[in-house]
Amino acid sequence: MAIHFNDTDSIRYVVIDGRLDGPESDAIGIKFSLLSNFQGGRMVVDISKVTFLASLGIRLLVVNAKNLKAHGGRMVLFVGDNESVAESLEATGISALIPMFTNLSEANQASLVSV
Amino acid sequence: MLESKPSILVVDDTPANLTLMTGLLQDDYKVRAATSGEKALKIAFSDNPPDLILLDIMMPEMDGHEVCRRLKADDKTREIPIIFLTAMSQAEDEEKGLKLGAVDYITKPVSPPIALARIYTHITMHRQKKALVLSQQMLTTEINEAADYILSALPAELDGEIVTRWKHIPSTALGGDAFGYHWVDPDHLAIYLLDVCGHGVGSALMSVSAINALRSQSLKAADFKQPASVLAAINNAFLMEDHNNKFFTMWYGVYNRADHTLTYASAAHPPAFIRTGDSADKTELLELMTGNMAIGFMEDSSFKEAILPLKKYNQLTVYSDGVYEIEKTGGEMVTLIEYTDIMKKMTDIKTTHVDSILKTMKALQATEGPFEDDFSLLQINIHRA
Repeated sequence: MAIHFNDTDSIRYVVIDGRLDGPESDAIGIKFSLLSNFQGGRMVVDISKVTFLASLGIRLLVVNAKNLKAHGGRMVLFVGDNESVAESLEATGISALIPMFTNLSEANQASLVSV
Repeated sequence: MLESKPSILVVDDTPANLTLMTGLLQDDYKVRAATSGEKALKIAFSDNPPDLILLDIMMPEMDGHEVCRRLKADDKTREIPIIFLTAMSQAEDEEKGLKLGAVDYITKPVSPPIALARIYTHITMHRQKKALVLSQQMLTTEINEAADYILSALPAELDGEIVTRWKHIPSTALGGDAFGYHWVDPDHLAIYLLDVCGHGVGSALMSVSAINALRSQSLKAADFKQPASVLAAINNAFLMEDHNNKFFTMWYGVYNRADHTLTYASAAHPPAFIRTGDSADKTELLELMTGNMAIGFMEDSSFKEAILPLKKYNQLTVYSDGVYEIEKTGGEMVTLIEYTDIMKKMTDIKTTHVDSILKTMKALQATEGPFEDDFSLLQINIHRA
C-alpha cells in the first residue's frame, strides 16, 4: 500500500495503490485526510492500482470526499480499467457522493466543475 | 520507592550471607530467609509467595539450579523473578541460570548499590507485568461479555414450516455483522442482515444498535412490511456523521405467507441468493439485490425494493461479504463470481448448507485461523406442502 500526490495548478492528484482494507486504510488514513483537507480543493484520486477495496477503504474515501465538499472542494475517483474496484464502488452507491471515471481526462474535467 | 513493601526471599546456606543481604534489603523490602532449597520451595509454594527470589547456586542437597527448575515448572511459581546470587562468575554458569528462567545474575561479593538497583528494576517490572496481565484479563472478560450479548441478540434457529440455520464467526472478539428474523405479524416474516464497516468494539456497538432497532421495530416512520421503507428509516437513524463516520450495508426482506411472495431491498449489500423451483429436482438460483446506496451515506436517500413470487421450494441465503472475501494461496481474493459458482453447486433444496459453505470457504483460505472479515451466513428454507 502506498500513497503519493502531485499538485498541478488546479488539481491535486493523489495515487493510492495496493490493498485498501482495514489495516492499510488506517496506515494511509492520516496522510489522505491531510491531503483532502484544503479549502476549495479539486482532487482526483487514482485508485486504478488498488488491488482490493474493503469497507474501511470505502469509508476513508467517503469521509474525506464529504470533508472536502464541506470546504467547498470536490473529489472525483479515477478507476481506469480496474473492474473489480469499480464494481465494489458501484455496489455501495458511492458514485452519488464521489463521481467515478474510467478516463483520466474526464476525471480531471469533472474535478473542476463548479460546486 | 514502590507503593507497598514487596517481599523478597533470600536463599543461601551460609547464615552470614543471609544476615548481610537481610540488612541490605530490610529498609525497602519485607525479607524472608531460607537456608536450603527445600525450605525455599516451601515458602515459594505457600499462600504468600515472595515477589522476587535471590537464590544462591551452590547449596548442599538441592542446588539453586534445581530450585529454579522446579519453580519454573509450576504455574503457581513460574512468574516469580529469580536472581541468582553466587560467587561463581563463569560465563557458562550465568548462561545455565538464565536458560533455566532466571532474570538476572548477581555475583559475590555483592556491590550494594548495584544489587539494590537490579532488584528494584526486576521488582518493578514484575509488578508492572502483573498489573498488565490483570488489566488484560479484565478487558478480556468485558469483551467476552459483550460478545455474549451480541450472540444473544441473534435469533434462535427455526424448524417446521420455515427452517433457518446460520453461522456467525466474528474475525475479532467482536464483529460488525448482525442479523435476525421475526414475525412482523402472523403473515409477514422480516429477514435481515447488516454489515458495519470494519470490526471490533465500535462496529459491534453500531451493529447491535441497528439490529435492536429492527428487532424492536422502533424505527420512526418505518413500515416493517416494506423493505424500502425500513432502509430509508434506518438510513436516517444511522447517518455516518452521527455514528463515528461508520456506515453499513444491509439486506432486508419480507416473506408474505398469505400470498407466498418475498419483497426485498438491499443497500450496497452483496446479493442474497434464492434457489427456487416447483420441483425439488428442478430449481434455479436467483440473485436478489436492488442496488441502493449504503446505509448512512446520505440523509433522506430513497431506496428501491423488488418482489419475487415464490415457488413450492425456496431456499434463501443471506450473507455478509466476509463469507467470500477470503485470501487464497497466491494472494488473490475469492470473488463474488466464484462464490456464486459454489452456491450453484449446492442444489439439494431439502436441506440447508451452512456447514458445507463454511467448510468450502475455509478450504479456499490460504492460511489457517480466523477469517479476515466477519463471516455471517443465514439460510432459510420456505417450502410449501
